[in-house]
Amino acid sequence: MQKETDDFSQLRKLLKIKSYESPPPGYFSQFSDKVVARIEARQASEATPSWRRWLAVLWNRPAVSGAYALLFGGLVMVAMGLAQTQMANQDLPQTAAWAAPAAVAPFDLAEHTVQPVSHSAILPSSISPVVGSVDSPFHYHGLRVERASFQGR
Amino acid sequence: MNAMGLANPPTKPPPPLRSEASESDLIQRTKRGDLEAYDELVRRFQERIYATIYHMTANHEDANDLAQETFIKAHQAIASFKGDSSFFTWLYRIAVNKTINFLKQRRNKNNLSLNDLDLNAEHDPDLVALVSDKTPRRDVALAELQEKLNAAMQQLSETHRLVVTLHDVQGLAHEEIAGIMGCNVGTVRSRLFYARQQLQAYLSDYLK
Repeated sequence: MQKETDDFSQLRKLLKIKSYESPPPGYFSQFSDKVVARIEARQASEATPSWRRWLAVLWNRPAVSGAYALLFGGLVMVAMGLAQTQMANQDLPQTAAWAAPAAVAPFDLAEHTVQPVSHSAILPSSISPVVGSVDSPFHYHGLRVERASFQGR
Repeated sequence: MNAMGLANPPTKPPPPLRSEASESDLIQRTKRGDLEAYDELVRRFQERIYATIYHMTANHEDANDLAQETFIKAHQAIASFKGDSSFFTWLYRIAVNKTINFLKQRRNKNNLSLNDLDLNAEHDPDLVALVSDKTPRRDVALAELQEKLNAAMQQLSETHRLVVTLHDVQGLAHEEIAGIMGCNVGTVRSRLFYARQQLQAYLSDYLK
């Protein structure tokens, strides 16, 4: 134990500096007054009704009162919108005939099945032009299809 | 009977003078809502509570706030004080808990705001011996030592700093510290030993 004391004796001397650190003059003469004043203010605040404290906050902080005003205004707008929608719904006839959804016939898949066709019979191309086709509407009206050429114009 | 022929109203015995009131009496009166009694309790403990917090934070403004909050919290909770420990220990526990919570939140934001040294520090033989003879102004050298010491203290963990503060700076016994920290005396001793070793390493240049 003695060895430990000796080992740290220089450090303990240095630590004595801490005991000379003192707050500004007169600090402690006002300290307890400040503490008691804060306790009294707190007690007074607790004795005040909550609605009065709330009003005091609004009065002292314009930003908070502005936020409350915006919130209140928004709520009023929403409420008015809801009320108008409800009134408009009440004015309408119960169910207009035209507004009623039409009955939809069941879709018969068999009727609409696409039949496979021959590739060459349908698709006209430069290799198999439509002129040669007997079922072609061009043939029916006596029309003739020629290759257009715009060269030399 | 007074000059008007009226009986004097019954007078209550005057409350004891500040210095005479016992601690338990002040506590009981505070519990009944007597703020004057609490004012006296604050006066009795303000310096020690402030000093503990100040040595932990190394910042006067923080110590001021925390010390005030400690006494306000103690006033709020005084109904729960049963006297199992001394009022001093109970109050210290509140201060220490508040300070450690504060320091955990403030971690990595160490800004020292040190109090001035008392003029008597220049005449302390132990401190004079630590200041180099070559230093032209002793107060400047002491202020530098003060800053280095506080910076080194801030390197310690909160619990180790607390043990050094309570024992080496404020002179509390190991048993009292154990009561405040809620641990046994052996733990206090080992923490103190480790904290001193750490400080000695940080301040080796100034301890030759």
